[in-house]
Amino acid sequence: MIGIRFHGRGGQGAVLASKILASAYFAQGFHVQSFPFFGMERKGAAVAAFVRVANRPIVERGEILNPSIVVVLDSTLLQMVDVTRGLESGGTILLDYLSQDDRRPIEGPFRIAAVDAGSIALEYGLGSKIAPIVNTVILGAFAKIADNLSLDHLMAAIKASVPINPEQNAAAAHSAYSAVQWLRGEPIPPRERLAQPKRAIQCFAELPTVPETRDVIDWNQTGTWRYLTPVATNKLPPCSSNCPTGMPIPEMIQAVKQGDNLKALQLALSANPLPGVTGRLCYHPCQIDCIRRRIDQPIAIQQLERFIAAHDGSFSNEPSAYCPARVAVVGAGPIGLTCGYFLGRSGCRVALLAGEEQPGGALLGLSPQKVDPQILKSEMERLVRLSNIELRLGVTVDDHLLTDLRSGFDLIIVDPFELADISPGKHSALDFTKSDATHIVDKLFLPVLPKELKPFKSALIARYVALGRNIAGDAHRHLAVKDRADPVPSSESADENGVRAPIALNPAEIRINRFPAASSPRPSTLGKDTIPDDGEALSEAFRCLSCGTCNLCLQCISNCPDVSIQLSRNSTGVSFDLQHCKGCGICAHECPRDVIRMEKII
Amino acid sequence: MKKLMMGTEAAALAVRLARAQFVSAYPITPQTNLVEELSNIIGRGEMKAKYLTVESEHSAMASCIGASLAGVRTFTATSSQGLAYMHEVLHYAAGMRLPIVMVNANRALSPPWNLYCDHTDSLSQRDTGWVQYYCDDVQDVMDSVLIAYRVAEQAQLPVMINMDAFYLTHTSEPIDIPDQEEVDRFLPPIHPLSKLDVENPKTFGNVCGSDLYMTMKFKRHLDMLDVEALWEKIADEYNRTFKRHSPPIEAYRAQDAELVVIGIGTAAGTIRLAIDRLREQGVAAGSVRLSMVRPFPAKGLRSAIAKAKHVVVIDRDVSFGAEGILAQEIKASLYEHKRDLEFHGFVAGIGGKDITTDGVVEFVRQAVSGQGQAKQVGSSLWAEVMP
Repeated sequence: MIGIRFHGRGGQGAVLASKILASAYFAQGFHVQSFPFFGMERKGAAVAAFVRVANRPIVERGEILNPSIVVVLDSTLLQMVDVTRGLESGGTILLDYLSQDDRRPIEGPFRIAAVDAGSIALEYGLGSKIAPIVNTVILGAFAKIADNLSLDHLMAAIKASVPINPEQNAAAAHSAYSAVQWLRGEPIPPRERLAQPKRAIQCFAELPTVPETRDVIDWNQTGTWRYLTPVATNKLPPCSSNCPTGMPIPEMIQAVKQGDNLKALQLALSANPLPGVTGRLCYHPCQIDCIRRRIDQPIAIQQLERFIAAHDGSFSNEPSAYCPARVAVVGAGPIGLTCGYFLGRSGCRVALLAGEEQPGGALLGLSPQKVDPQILKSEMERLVRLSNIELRLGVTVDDHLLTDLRSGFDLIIVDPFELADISPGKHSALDFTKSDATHIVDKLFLPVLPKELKPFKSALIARYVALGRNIAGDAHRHLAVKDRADPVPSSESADENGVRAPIALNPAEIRINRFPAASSPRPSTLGKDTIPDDGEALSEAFRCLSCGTCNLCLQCISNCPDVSIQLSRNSTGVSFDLQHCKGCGICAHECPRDVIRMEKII
Repeated sequence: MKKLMMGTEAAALAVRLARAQFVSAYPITPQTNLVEELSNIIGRGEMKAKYLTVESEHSAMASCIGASLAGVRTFTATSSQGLAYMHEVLHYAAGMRLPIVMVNANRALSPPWNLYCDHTDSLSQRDTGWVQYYCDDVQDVMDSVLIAYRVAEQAQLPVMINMDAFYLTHTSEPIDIPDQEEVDRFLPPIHPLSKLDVENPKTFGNVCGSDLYMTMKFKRHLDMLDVEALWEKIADEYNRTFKRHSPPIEAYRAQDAELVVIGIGTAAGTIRLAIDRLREQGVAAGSVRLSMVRPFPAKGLRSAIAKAKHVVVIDRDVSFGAEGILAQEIKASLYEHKRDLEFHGFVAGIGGKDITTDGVVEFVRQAVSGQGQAKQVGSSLWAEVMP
């Protein structure tokens, strides 16, 4: 009698394969018996099926403990199932996969045959790329290696048994018949037998009274089936990543939700000293990719920014660090102001020089419709106060000024817009061609203005702010090399590497209102030039999904078909049970905040 | 303190004295008074317990399983169809080794519709793995519920206390009520072997292969067999404290008896009266009350009928197509040990038909003489069926 054991995954058709094989042998006049071993009814879980073939009536029943042939429908099972268990010495293993390099090696006195079953199945349109149906394919290979089964009987049995595509299935079996090859024609003696998995309970005395188990059981594990793995990471949401100044927008909105508008202002000022100006002039790329747009309309971030900026923020002007350097910034436009602000906040003593009688540079030329001069004034007053800048207005800006400043300052930075007033080459000691962000010549730092930023365009205000901040960063790094002071973080340097620090929102603190009542004000009802009141701002803030950050909406958990996602105490709030996760990707698709992503990790 | 009480009230009182922490039940005649009383007790705040209202007996038992897994002392009560409806979850409670105590009011199964006493409801649950105890008076109801909690929690097995419909449920008798302090000393707070714990998650009753499954069942069988001695021990302890005995098996004038009448539930009292009358008439008769049916007290039974030549069994139940259920049980337990017996299985008193002293004397007479009113069908004798 021949005993044949099939190893497959639930849903692969191993049981049907065993029945087809039995039918084919039966048609040839053998006595046959086929039966499955039912474990958990779970797609992807390990299953087994058996066939007995004999020249006499078969009366025995039950598992075939010592098969002579083992057929493996999915070699990834080798990681979790000992397919050689009980296999006769000199017995044959038929695998579905030619290269065993990335699989667990099979050791023991066995012959191994293999066929690239997945490719053949796809060639005949059986199953999908993710889950090719290989059961009839592998039977074709079986007919070749078994040498007592005729291919014609097998193909007839396949055609009579498969639920769909009988011709393709039979043709695929025929193809596999020719394609199967011996990976190991002669049995090799075992180097070392695989240790049998140790049973959790070995004797009666170890039995628990209460039938309880800890952790997962082996029977229904499907993790080895997975080729894409869900990974949950909090990341920068589209609003922040689109903002040229890199303002921490979700954190700001979160602070508004919590009623802490001053905290929101502080967060804004950490990246942008002129939120009231950008909140009116900027073309708000923050709203372009807002994920809320998929539900109704994007969050009115610009209006919220105005709302936040309108708070007076009379906090301490104590700088965040100390730097002994003295820095002169020539030019009081948005670039000079921002640059002076960040240097001042980082502890430098900053003098801001301008030809005009008031700060603002190009901003002063804007019409009052674009930005109320009163707001512009108060924004700049706050900037100057918080950064302890010394304003020297009405000075004559020329190359003589630069020469004069050199004696009193460690570094002189010229707002690129001011360079027009300084004739290059007028002063022999200055070489205006050499200084740039990385090359400061003779205490003089002449940053370069990217082409697209000139002439001044008010809609690009955030770019000027970002540039001012970067110039401050470069300057401070230059000074820090000398003085070992703390560097100023740059808003755009992170962009170059494509990496930004994730926003550290505490998921437990996040409160959202995904679908506010219809009566709630919509962004469109907020006038473009108005400042939302407290109620309007709060209601708008609550529309924010806090995306990029897991806020425990549990969409992933409720949609996981394998109950393989749990709440956890890590920063993303969820963790994956990789012993069961099949990598279907539904969680990543469902995650409204783009926290979950599928990655190629085995 | 003595007080006049119905069986249902005595059971509710015992549950209160036992300080059960969770009660879930669905009302059914003749158990209704019991759960009404319990819900009143809990509602008045006299008992610190959660009363869960459910839509069926199946859910009542299911919720008791959940509560018991959570580690609290759990109670439910039902009767007849309600017990039948619980059947599937009864296996679960026992398989999970949960010390749930249930009171079942023995009532006839429908159809035809009948509210009165009959033991087929609980006896047809004998293979579910529950300990089964049958009370013979109202005092025994109260006492056995308290003993049942001790036994259940020590053996980690559920216990079903059975009381005859109306003969106990709705019959008022004076009973002795123990002090709460004494009960607390006898029955300390529950200490479950294992319980649900969010810090240490476990699966209860998970899938299990055939080898382990069979050995688990074997272990449960052994533990169930031990319950006879365990009940005896705890009933003795109860007797020392409260001066009342609720043993697994109770023999009456049986030591020298050549004829022994065996019954369960309230019929045992009637049978004892009949024995006295038979003794007066010079018949060497005795009786045995099987208060425990699962585990079956085979050893106690064998010693109680050591001298007997005739055994008369009165079944208030029937297994259609065979005979009375107790008759089968008793015969099976004696086969290995005592075969020189005349065995007489009567089916009597089902569906609330009274079992009387005269009736029992008449059964004995028919057993000995072979002449009488009961109809012989196969190996059983059906008493008082219409001609």
